[in-house]
Amino acid sequence: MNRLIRALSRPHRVVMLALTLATAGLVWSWVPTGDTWPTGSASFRINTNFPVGEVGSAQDQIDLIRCAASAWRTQGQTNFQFFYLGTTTSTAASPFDSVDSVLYSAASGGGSTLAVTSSAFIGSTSTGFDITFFGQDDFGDIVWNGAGDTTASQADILGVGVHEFGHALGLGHPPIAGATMFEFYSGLPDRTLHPDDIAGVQDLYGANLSISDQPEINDVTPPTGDIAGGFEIVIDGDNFTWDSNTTLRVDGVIVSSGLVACDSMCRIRILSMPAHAAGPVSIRITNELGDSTIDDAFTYTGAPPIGAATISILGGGGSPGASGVEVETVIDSDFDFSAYSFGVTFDPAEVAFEEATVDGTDADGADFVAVNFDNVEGWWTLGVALDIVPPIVDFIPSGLDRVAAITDYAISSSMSVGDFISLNAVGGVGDPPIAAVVSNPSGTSITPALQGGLIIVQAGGAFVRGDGNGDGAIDIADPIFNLDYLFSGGSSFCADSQDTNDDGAIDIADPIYNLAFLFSSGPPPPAPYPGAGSDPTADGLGC
Amino acid sequence: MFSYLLRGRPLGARSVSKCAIAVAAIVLLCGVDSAHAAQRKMSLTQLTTKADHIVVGEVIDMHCYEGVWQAVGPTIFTDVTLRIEEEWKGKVKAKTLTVRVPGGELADGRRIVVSGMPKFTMNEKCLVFTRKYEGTQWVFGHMQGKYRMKVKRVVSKFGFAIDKDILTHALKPKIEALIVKERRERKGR
Repeated sequence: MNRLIRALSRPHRVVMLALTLATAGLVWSWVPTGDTWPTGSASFRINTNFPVGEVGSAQDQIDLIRCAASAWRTQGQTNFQFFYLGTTTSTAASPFDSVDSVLYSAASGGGSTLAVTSSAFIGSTSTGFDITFFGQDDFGDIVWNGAGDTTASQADILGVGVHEFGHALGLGHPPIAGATMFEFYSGLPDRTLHPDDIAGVQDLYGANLSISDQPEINDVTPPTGDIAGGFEIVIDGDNFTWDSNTTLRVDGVIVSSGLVACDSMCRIRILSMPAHAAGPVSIRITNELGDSTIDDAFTYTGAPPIGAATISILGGGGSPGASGVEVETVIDSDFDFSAYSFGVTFDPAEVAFEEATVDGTDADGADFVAVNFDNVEGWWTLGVALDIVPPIVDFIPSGLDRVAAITDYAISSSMSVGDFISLNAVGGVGDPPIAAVVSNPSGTSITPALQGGLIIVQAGGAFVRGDGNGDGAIDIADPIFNLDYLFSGGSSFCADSQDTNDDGAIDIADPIYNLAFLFSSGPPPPAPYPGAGSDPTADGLGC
Repeated sequence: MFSYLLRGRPLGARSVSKCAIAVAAIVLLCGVDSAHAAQRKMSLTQLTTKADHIVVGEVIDMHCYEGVWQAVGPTIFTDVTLRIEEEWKGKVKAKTLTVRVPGGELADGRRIVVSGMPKFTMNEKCLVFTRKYEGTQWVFGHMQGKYRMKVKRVVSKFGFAIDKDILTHALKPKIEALIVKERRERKGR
């Protein structure tokens, strides 16, 4: 019924109220106590001695009680106003003292009393008031609620507060069960004024129709939030009610009721904002007091998601003891990317990191490449930025299998043919820890999916002993290749092929053996020479 | 016909006869006084079983003074003395019963009104539920425990006038039945 009445314009409500009361034989139903505040205002202080476990922190208590007081001005559209002057430590209501206080008494007020208002007068002039909320009655403990709706076992501090402040401003009990000033507590509905309550306060102090009696949003905290949503916002305002009577919309879309919490008539929280595109959005609140939309009430910020990416380590293979076992790492990306980083962990007893490079990959020529590794702990990391001088113009286009790194590993000679060596793509390893990240040219990054890889330990590969440089021919270039490897830091193609004399080691004897065979009728290299094949000799070398 | 009036309310054109018919049923639901309250509604059973005394009496004295309501703080009390006419529950040694009511006016003009408290007037006849609270008898449930009774003169079906109090006659059997039930339950324990 209240909702229906609220849906009418104020003139219509007045007419309807008059007709209703006339039908009942009552010109006015609201009951004055006979005394009013001559200044049209009253002030009060709050003793925040309410049970914290029930009502909340001191600030929560202040917020709730101030909100109850303000309902008379905002819902009642009246000139009367309660002013909050701060806190008090007074634990006894004494209406003739200079402090008008709202406080909690753990004692019983007798009978089934929840709260009382003691109003003081000298003659017919109001001089003060005190409101006492009780912790017990003759039937047991009174449990007060804090912010939010009440349960069946709780008493609503907001509804009772509005009722008691009504007494403080000069209203008694009307014989209308739906009125906040009705003599018996009715729970959540007491938070909202009935037209009879409004008629009463307006008649005592005058109407002020410039004050909106609709729900009003005064402040949104925080005023901005990420487009991903999922965060809480606090809406402060007036003329809110309670959960089941409230509908909130963000940009026209209803927020699930489970995500809306009406703390009081002055505060609503959206517990988890929906995701939304960047930009300002409206917030609309609908309850039995009205319907209000605030444009640009909240602003979503942040760039839209740039897409997804996966960093994958491709498999490799090599024989026990082999070095230079090459493994590629590739990136699949929905977006163009200009930088990336990641880490790889491995078991140092199985394999050792040798080097990582972007030469010959899609990142060849990158402005910044940083490699770090630790073969004791078993990890290596790579950071790559294709372009470090703004504007960032170099990038790897979106797509599959963009080669991000080529890594060489050395397989431990203790491994056996058929073993698998795990290489794990990770973020957060290294010192400092390197995150797994893929970034677009604008600097927006995402955490990619990570896919590890395996090195398969295989039998040694076919080789021609003495063909150290692997060019398919045994000639003068091979001993030179060996000498370069031994004394000038040259690379190794296949250790077994360089072990020309098959003594299980690569040393100066191998190029000498090779030269003797070529130019001094020395013996030929051992098997598998002259053909290609595997090493028939068990040694620590591989190929 | 006997009826009662809701004290303090502007009844206007409301039919007295309608009130009279409804009174027995709703008197304890709606209350009968214009005092203020944030109270939970009590049932007749709760009022009856928890009260120390249930008496019908006439207000013969009202005395205001400064005192301390322990649960609240300094205040003005009014001690209301009733000359007992009927005792429905409890035994009062004297012929009178005094109940303490928060609120009142001192001779110097200072006045306190406490929400939820019953209002009494001199020579008023009322039904009162009382219970010991803070060392003395108070009206139990404050405004819920006090009912002003209006005796109305009506013409009987035999053609002569009689004074009848419909409140007393309607409530007394119910309250007596509740008291008997309460005693039985106590013995049963």
